[in-house]
Amino acid sequence: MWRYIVKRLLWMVVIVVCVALLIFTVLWFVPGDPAQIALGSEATAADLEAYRELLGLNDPFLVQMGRFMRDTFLRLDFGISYSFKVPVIEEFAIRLPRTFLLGAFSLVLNMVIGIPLGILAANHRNSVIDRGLLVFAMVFSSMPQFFFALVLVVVFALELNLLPPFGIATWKHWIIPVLAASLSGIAQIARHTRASVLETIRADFVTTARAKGLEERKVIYRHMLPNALIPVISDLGMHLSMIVGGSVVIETVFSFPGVGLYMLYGINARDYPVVRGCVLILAVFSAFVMLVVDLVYAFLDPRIKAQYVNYAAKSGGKAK
Amino acid sequence: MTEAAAVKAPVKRRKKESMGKQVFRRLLHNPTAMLGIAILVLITLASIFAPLLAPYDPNHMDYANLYARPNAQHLLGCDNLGRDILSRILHGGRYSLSLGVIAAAIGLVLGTFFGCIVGYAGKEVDNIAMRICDIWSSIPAMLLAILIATALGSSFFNTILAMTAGNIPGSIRNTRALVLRERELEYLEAAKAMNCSKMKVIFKHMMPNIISFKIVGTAGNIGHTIMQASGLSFIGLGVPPSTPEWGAMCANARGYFLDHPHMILIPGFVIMLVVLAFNLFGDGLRDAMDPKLKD
Repeated sequence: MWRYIVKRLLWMVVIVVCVALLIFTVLWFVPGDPAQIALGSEATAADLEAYRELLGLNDPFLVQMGRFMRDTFLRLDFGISYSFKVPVIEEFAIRLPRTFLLGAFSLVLNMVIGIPLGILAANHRNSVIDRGLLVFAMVFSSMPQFFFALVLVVVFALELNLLPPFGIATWKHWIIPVLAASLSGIAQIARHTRASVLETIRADFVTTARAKGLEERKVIYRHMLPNALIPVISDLGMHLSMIVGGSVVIETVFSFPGVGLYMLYGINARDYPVVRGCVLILAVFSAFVMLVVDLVYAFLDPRIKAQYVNYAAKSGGKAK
Repeated sequence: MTEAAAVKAPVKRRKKESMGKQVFRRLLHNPTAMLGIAILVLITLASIFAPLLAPYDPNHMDYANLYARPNAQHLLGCDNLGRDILSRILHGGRYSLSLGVIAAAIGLVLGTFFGCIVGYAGKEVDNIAMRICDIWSSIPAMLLAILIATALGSSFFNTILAMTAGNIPGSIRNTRALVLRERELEYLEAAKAMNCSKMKVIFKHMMPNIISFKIVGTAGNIGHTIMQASGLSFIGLGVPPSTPEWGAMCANARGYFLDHPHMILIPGFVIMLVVLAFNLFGDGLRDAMDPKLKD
């Protein structure tokens, strides 16, 4: 098992480095002059030139890229924001926990609500509950996130006056953003779980379990569910990636001061260090969670586990 | 269930019926899929004939009716510049629908092309290509779209490119999985024995057997693309707000949302309806292709 974990960790390092190179290259092509934006329209050509020289924007592509990679990975320094004049890493210290919590809450809600709903629907197949849940899931997985977020604001903040619409001052401020970020995921996971459970019901091992006289509860919870949930768990990485991407939209709607909103400021101000840092940190965050999901998946699925345990045993049993 | 059983029996007798016909017949028996198709046909026709149907020019500004709520004169109201929302929705369908269809189609073509080559070549080519896909898809699709839209600037075609970029790795991976299953089958062995070139084996013999599965997957993808593109427009990086595209209309309405919610709720609802229709259609098509999946 350790061998698998180490292998995956090394692979993640490769992914992160490649993503950093990719981000730098794509942003190299962004039109617009950061010096012009930072200094305003009255700046003279000499001022602009001096500013560009100061930021090292006149250096060749590879030199800039090398500097970026060195600072980011060896010094953990994302640079200083051109427009805020504050090191990007300091902003991250404040903003990253917020975005992280938003994503974590959403992912947990996805699982905690989506999976039981799917199981419920599958167990009451073709009943009113099942039909209702399917319609619910279909509608919510078709709704653009910002649309749903705004509907929530209208209903809960403006009409019912129960929750505050914007900002993050108290825990109440978090309710609508978290709901908005997780609903389509809940709907998709519920549908996926239902389909997976229904497929497993017909599997031979379930018939065997029933045939040998196990009580129905045991058949469901010990034999059927662990197998039915494997494909659902393996998809959590994809859901997380959607939550992370969607966080930019959600943060815009709620003026939620997280990394996504920071990135949008950065984009509009041509503030390269900010944009690079944000995209990189969000990509690393989702790559890391995907890694965790994969490890859990490998742990749950005996076929994958066996592959590595056997491999380790053959190669001298060094890894266990 | 009974329907499926009734359909199955005649299929056995009439062996010559093509797969396409079978799929079509199963689709006709699926009411939710038909609902999706009906909505899609209606909205597509409305968009095509938008210049005839729209009561006003989509860019005509009526200053007497700024922010008008839906009324008899303007059925769906007006926006902040007095532009008729119904007309903009009808014209916007041209942009939104073609955006989704083109982006999904590019993803389909490129994904199938590379997926077939990679899957058939196997070994190192396959390994390297899959690792590239891993890296590519480790950036969340929305972030990738934001990056590309930033680099290229906001326009209709750049939005299509930005949306496509996130689609391709998934499409390649999915094609590859289909190819791996197909690769071992005997007809390919036969094609090889007949001294067909590799390209001929891949694209003349193997691809036609895969493409139908790919097209089925694409139907649901179009809806997803339209939804994502509207999100991109909403944060100001997609289609420019002057264009009567649905997502751009929502983005434009963002600032007036508290006082004039109809400006955003109407286009938002239309997006939802179209995405829902594509999903229903896509699911129906998938069930019709593979009746085993249906419970």
